[in-house]
This record gives sequence, C-alpha cells and structure tokens, in this order.
Amino acid sequence: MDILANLATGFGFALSPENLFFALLGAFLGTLLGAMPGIGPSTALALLLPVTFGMEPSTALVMLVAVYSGVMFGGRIPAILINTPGDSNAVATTFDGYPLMQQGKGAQAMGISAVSSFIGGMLAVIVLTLAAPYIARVATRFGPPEIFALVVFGLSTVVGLAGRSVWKGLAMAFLGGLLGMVGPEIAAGQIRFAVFRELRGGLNFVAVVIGLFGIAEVLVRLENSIKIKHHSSTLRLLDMIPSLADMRRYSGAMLRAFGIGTLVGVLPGAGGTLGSFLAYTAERSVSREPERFGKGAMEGVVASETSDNASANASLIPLMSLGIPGSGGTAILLGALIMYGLQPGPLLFMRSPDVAWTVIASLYISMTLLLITNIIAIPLLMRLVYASDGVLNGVIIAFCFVGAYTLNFQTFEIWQMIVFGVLGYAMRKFGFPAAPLILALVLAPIGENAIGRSLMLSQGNIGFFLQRPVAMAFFLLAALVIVTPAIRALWRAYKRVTAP
Amino acid sequence: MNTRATTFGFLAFLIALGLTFLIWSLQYDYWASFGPGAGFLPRWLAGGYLISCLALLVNELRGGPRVEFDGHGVRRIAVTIGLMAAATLATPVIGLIPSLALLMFLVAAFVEKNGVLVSIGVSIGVSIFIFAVFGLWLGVQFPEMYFFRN
Repeated sequence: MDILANLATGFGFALSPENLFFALLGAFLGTLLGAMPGIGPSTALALLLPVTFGMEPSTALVMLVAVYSGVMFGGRIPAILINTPGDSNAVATTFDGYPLMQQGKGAQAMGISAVSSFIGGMLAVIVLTLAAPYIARVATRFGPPEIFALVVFGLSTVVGLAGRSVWKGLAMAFLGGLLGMVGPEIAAGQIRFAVFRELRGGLNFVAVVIGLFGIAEVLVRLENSIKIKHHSSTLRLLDMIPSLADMRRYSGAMLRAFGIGTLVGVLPGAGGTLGSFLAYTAERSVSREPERFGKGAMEGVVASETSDNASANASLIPLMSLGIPGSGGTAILLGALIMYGLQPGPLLFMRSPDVAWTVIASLYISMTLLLITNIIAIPLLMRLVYASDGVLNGVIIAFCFVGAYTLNFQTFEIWQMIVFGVLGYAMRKFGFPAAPLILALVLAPIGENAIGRSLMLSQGNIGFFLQRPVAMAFFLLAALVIVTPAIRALWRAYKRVTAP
Repeated sequence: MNTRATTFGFLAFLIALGLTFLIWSLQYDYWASFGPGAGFLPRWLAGGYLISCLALLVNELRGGPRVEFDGHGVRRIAVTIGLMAAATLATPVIGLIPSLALLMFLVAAFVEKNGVLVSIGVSIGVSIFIFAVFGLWLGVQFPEMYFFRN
C-alpha cells in the first residue's frame, strides 16, 4: 500500500503542467537525438543537462529521465530506416529492421518496434516501482564499510563497460578516479592537484561530460564527414499502428525479451547492448524458422527493442536504490542527482521521496508519451533529422558552449570542455571507453570518503571489513565480475587447444 | 599518417599524465592521525593507472591494431578546435552569443562546406533560439560585448 500511496503522490507532482511539458519535451528531444547516428544516451544527456539548470530538481530529473528513455526509443529509427543504429544498443535491430525496410515493411517494423519498446520499458518500470524501494530500505542500514564495498562493486563493473580491452577500461577507470581526486579532499579539506586556481573546487563534472561525449562526437563526425543518407521511402502513419493479431503473434517474444533485458539491466555494467543481443539470439533459437532471422523476421526487431528498453529502465533500479550507475548514461544521471543537491542511493527514498517517486511516476508518463510521439511524429522527426544533418556539428558545438558556460558563468568551464573533448576524441580513436572514466569520476570521491570513515571506525584495521558480511558479499561479487571474463577467456583458449 | 607513432604518442601522454599524478600525490600525507591521508587513494589510483598503461604499452609493442586517420578529416578537426579556442578567447571581448554566431557560421561554411546563405541563416537562427531559451527564459546572464559595457 505504501508503494501505491507514494506512487500516487509521485503522479500528483509528475502530472503538473510544468512537469508534463518537460516530460514531453524530453521525450521528443531524446527521440530526436537518439535518431541521430552515433548519439547515445550519454551524449544526449550531456548535451541537454545544461538546459535543466535553473529548474526545480524534480522537474529537471523528469526531463532528463524522459530524454534517457527517448534516446532508447529513438535509436531504432535509423537502425530500421538506414541500417545505421542510433547507438550500440540498437545494433541487433538492424539485423532484421533494415531488411524489413527494403521489403517495404518499414512502417510496420517502426510501429511494432515502438510498441515493443513501450512494453519492454513499461514492464521494467513496474519492476523498478516494486523493487527499488525495498532494496533501498535494506541499503539504508549500510555503514561506511558497506558503502565502500558497494563502490568497489560499482567500479568492478568497468570490466563490463570496457568493451574489447579490459586494460583500456581499467586505465580509464583509474584515470577517472584520479580526476575525481582533483580539488578538496573530503575528510581534511586539503586541496589537491589544483593546477589552476579555478580547479580548487574540483573538475566540473558536467563540463567533463559535455567534452567527452558532445564535443568528441562532433570531432568524430567531422573527421569522417558522417552524413545521413536520405531514403526515398515514405512511412504512412496508418501502417505504423500494429493490429491486435500482430500483438498476439509477438507477445511471447516480447515477454521473453523483457525477462532477459530486465535481468541484464539490473546487473551494473552488463549494458543494453548485451541484453538486446541475448534476446535476439534467444528468439532465434526458439523460433521454428530460425533461417528467417537476418532476412526480415519481425520477431528479431521485437526481441531487440523490447530487451533494449527493458534493460535501460531496469538499470535505474541499482541507480535509484543503491546509487550504483551501470552505464555511461546512468552515471550522468547520478551526477545530475548530486548536482541538484540530492543524495543518490538508498537515502534518496528517505530524504527526497517526492523527487524519487516523481521520477518513477514520470517514467510511466514518459513511456506513454514516447509511444504516442514515436508513432505520430516519426515522419516529422525524420524530416528534422535529415534537414539539420548538414549543419548539425556547428549547432551541437554552440549548445555545448552555452551548456559549459552556464555551469559557472566563466569561460574556464568552456576550456575544460574543449580539453576533455579533444581527450574524448583521442580516446574514441584509440579505442578507450569513456563510460568507466565517468563512472570512476563520480564514485571515487564517494569511495574515498567511505574508506576514510571505515578505517577511522576500525582505527586503521583493514580486517574490520571481514567482520561485515554485507561488505564481504559485495567484495566477492566484485571479484566475480572481474574474474569471470578472465575465466571465460581461459576456457575458450582451453577449448581451442583441445579441439580436434 | 604514421599510425604506430600516434598510438605510442597517445600512450606516452597517458603515462606522463599518470607519472605527474603519482609524483604530485607524494607531497600529500599517505596516512593522517585520523585515518587515510590526502595522498592515500591518489597513490593507489596512480599506481593502478600506470600498471594498466604499461600493460597497454606491452600489448602495443607486440603489435596492436592499427588506427586509421584521414588526413582531410584531421585537418577539419584541427580547424574546428582552433575555431572553438578562438571563440572562447573572443567571448569576453565580443560576448558569448556573437562569438557563437561567428563560430557556427565558420564551421557551417568552411568546415562543413554549406552555402553562405544557409550558414548565415543557421548561425543567426540558432543564436536567436539560444538567446531566447537561455537568456530570456532561463535568465542566464551572458557576457556582453566589451564595448557595450557601462
């Protein structure tokens, strides 16, 4: 009953005209940005975070969460239309989405994928509503040792975020941690690594994020002269609305993909890309006609999109209940929570229940708005994407500049953004992932504070952690997350050697 | 472009950055009277970072994947970074909005090779939009043109 009462309160705030407007704006802009090849949730959030300055925290978070969900919805549009996924999560959608487009079934694929995205996302929000408050209630009993162990567990997920090279992921996580040390140390207030006077308060998280994602994205687009190719096909609105028979036919695929996506989303660092690939593979393996997959099987699109959106919303469970972001996008949302003076993690539900429940309620609203806008506004969105493509880079740079300037009303933040933009470009070129850096930048100061308080409590005795079973459980989980890929690689090598 | 040299150059930069952090962290206390000092975590992080970078260097020496650079693309990037730096330097003098309008025009016309009219239209249109949203609606005080102050 508590949950229903809290949710009702959340809906009361979320349905205010102002919040509703910003949820709609966020959903629209998120879909628009998600429809642009290469722009994922991290870049979209980095670009739009400054727009929320000056808003009430709950309104700002309503808009950011709508942007986050919108990007997930939007990623499928170029995947189906032009065989170019909006972000890595939509890669599996291209396998069957584009063949369907070539067969003249693009409108149906767009409609079914919008409904699948909605169902996957909405079911995951229900799981979030039921699970997050309980997990948070348990987590409020955590002391500094458990929080430190939780941070270590969160940081261990860089192995999942690292991409192809674990060493590169680790290097970026350590670098992010070091950058998080710039500025005042929490315990004694000593200023560290402040090479400029303006850095005495630390690096500006948002300027770093805008640089690493926004500016770096523009530089990559400029180097490769990325332009969206126009497609002559038209999409008729009526064809985009799926029939009841379609819904019945694909309901099994949606439920299976929702299960996989939610499970993957809850695990920090596993990521929506893994979820959509797993759901796609699972759907092909249960299909009676697996040979149709890759040639235009609607179930493939359904599985990929349902799982992608389920995992995106499920990844908000560890973020909201434990303060552990499992991806670049949720790390930026975590940064936004801190920026608005909110305590991320279990205390969010205790100290700012209005904000927490408004955000959850707004997810229901955003998903509904996204379904409507993604069916009605697709032709308009595509025209906007095509029209703005030739001049997009300069416009993105201008918004990045304004965003960085409004952080502190100084050009120093713009310089920070440019430096991290160049670094982000170099990282992209040499295959260094940015998500571990952002994750560590946020978590390292929290971890430093927690380990400091833990060792103060134990008077410097490291063995103190052994007496805390919950902390030990998180350490073991972290070890498991780090060691599993190594064991898997050894197993593969062993199988290769012993193969006849 | 010599891709091996640029890869080693980037790794050398990352290692130099790590060494700077490590050496700098030595001036902070490792252990204070009440617990870990200001140098405790930075030293561990810098150590872990340098080990990771050295592992990457060893991998690279064994022959890592080649990174391709497009000469024209790199020039476009260099010009854009130069324009961004110039716009930042110009901001206190001519104001943020005029700097951005100029920046957008130059990027659209000379980097993205759009027509002059399109570039002017986009730069003016987006500047007005930015001023309306941030200046009028959100009440952000943008730096004004130096000559118009007082």
